[in-house]
Amino acid sequence: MSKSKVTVFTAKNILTMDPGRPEVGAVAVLDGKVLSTGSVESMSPWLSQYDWELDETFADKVILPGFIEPHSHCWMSAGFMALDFIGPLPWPGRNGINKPVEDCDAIFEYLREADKREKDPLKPLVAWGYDEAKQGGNIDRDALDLINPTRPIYIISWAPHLLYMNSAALSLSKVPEKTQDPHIKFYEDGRLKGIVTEPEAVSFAIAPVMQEISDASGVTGLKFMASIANRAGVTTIADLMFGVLDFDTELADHSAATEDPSFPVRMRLTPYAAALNAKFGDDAPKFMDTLKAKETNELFFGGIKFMSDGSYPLMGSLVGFPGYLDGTNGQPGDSNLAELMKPFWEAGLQLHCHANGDLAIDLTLGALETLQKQHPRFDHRFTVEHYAMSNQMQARKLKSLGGIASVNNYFSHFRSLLHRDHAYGPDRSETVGRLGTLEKEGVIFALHSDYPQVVVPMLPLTAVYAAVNRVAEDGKTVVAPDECIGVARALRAITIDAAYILGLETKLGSLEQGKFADFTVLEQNPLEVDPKSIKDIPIWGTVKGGEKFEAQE
Amino acid sequence: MKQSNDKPSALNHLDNDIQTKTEESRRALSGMLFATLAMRGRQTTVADKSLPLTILSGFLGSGKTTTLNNLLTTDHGIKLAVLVNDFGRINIDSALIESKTDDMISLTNGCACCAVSGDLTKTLIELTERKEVPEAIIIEASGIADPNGIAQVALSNPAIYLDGIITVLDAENLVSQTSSDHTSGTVIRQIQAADILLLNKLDIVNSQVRTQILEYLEQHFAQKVIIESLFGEVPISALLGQSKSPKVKYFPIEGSHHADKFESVSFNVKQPLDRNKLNLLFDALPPKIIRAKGVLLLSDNVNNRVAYQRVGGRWSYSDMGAWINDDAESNIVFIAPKGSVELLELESKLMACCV
Repeated sequence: MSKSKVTVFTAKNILTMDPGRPEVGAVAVLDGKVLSTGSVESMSPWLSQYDWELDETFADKVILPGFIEPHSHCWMSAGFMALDFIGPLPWPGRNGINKPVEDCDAIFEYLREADKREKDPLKPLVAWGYDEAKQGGNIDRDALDLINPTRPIYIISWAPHLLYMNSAALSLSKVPEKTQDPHIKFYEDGRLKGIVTEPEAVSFAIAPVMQEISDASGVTGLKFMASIANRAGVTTIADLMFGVLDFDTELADHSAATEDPSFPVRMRLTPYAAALNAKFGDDAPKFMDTLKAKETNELFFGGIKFMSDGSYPLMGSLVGFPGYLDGTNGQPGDSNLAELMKPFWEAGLQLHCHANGDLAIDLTLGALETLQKQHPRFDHRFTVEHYAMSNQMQARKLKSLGGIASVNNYFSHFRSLLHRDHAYGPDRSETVGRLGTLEKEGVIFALHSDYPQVVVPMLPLTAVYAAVNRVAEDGKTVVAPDECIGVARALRAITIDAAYILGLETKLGSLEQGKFADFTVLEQNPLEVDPKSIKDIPIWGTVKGGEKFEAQE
Repeated sequence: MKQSNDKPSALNHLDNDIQTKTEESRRALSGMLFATLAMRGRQTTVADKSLPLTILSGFLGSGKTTTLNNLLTTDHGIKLAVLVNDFGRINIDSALIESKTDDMISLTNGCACCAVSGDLTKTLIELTERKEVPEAIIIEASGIADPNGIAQVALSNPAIYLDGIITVLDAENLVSQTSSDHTSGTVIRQIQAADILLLNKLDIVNSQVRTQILEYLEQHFAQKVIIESLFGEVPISALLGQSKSPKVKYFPIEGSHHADKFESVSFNVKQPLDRNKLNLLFDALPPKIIRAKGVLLLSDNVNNRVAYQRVGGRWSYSDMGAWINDDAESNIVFIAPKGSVELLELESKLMACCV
């Protein structure tokens, strides 16, 4: 008889996402996997077979299966997230959405605190988003020296061709004391003013910062992103842009990070088709076999990524009649989608296709239809990624072709009013993320953030809040209320249904025997609180494979 | 037309514009970081800051593609690499096409047109690592992009320097574009970023609109150099700077109808020139001068060639290393609308800079 030790976690509620026993009071963990769910009493036939201990840390808390973020970009974005944002509008930060920084005084206040917080006295402080027109004030060398003259401080304006520096930054960047370059500004007394303008001068002055940030990417960056995920209750992150820079480097970094027992998340990487083709040519589909051979319990590979239009917040989505408010339209994605997808489809791989606008969704569904005609497949899990602006019949067609959807539904909360008169117009912006229609048509879907590539945070509880309330960014307006879904379905979309979309449903997404013991630990039960306050439920942290990861600031 | 009041949105136009600006900025910063990551451990086959980059910006429908078609097919002797978002609208006579792949069209005149599929950084790295490096790069910016952001990303590649930003304006629609909430922010940023404004479609607007536009530009952007083009045709010598390759090129004014409108004035000076005096002269040149370029013999640096570049109101020197096979002497060319430069006056001022 095995002497493996079993840990039994008890909680106020445990929502298992197992329809047969949806709510229990205890979950037993053996070797990092779920041994049993129920009560301490009901699982006694198991407990009598093992040494076991009771862990009551969560006795007054609520356990859910670990949240899954099925579409994000960690590796390539970690450096960017190291920058502080000081702009005059709400913006996603390391802890959700930061409040707007109203004026120049508030910027200085922010910088003073950031300066105090950072213990390494020489680590540069880099903030961006200063909008002189909106926030006013005078930022220059002397003003920044008042905060700290010896720590390099760089302020990047909203347009990154204006850079403000203190004395330490000027010397770190080796800005010449004497020059006839009109883009380097001087005080009347001839001292450098700490302001450089225009791309050429800024590129030069910002180089040491970019170098430092890029040095801090890689494994360090992944750990930083994982700590953000941990605070959001996320235990598995999918990165949908693997290999965009270099497969070998990215693979080495992900392996090193996920092998570390203190790394709080599992990761699933999806290579980008264009990058695969560029590197491997006709052998591209076979590369997935190489990757699969490197899988561990913490690092998975799956799916191939395609693009059919541009970004939703950067106004690159392709939409149908009559285009954008100003008569323009978005940017195209990969050309000849079906042709590009064909070898991967025929190799039996899962395909993920980015599609924000309804025209892009048409192109994507058209490609899937072509593939199904040429080489029919079942359970292929072709996933439309983002599915931002759709119409009802697209959901039906997606269903009939056997496809599923990973939806960025945060937009209904963060962008639906903005885009009423900015690019897309009211019809499309108000109905962004049609989860109600997907549910009615029987399409399986997950919720994702695309963090930090678009202007929303990675907070699955906020995605649930957005899905069930559809309250816009003003906190009052409800957009397309008929597209709301219930809390239970929304919770599935960040757990078991997200696992299904990643092809990891036998390992993750619910608390059932044999699955990884990954939990999200909340202070309140999302099924019981007022749906409007779901996003405000405090998050204790997570458990990954039976190990506790309390959220750290 | 849209209603001026009773906006349903809680966000006003100003906030929308800040949103756009911030997202532009985010895109540029991300791009720069990405480029820095991508550049690690790379070796370009050309010297640092030796490849001139021109960014061709302009709102949708302003005529960028026509301009690019002309740049690619005019016989100017420069090996251009033109980077576009997609080939779809590039229309090149098949007789001029040497070869064509999914992402590149090579022309018989040595130029190439490359499709940038999403990743400018990678495309630029590939260009600068090739055996046959182009002599100049032109990037077509998307209609809604801020060209400064693109410049910033491109400049993360150490081989590249910014020659200039050219913004193409659509004379027919400029007034409505700059007065609409939806487009004014973008169009104005594109104008602000430009070294040269290329005013297109003037031939199809009536004189009233023409006057209105010129007054608007004079009032708001008085410092900008404006080139008026006919049917998208412009003198390449005005649009592009000089290559820093050892065989320095001067671009003559080409084509008969350009010669009617523009002139180039060149000077050859054998004696070394004084840098400080030249600085004053170059700072004070009239804004009418669209371009100036040359190789200088400076008294404080007689062993090396120093390149001089002026585009719009912006100018710079750069050291090009020792003189090779050339006579050490200064050669400068100024390009301006015909009749706008006082040849004799300029010559005497230049001669006054001799040591």
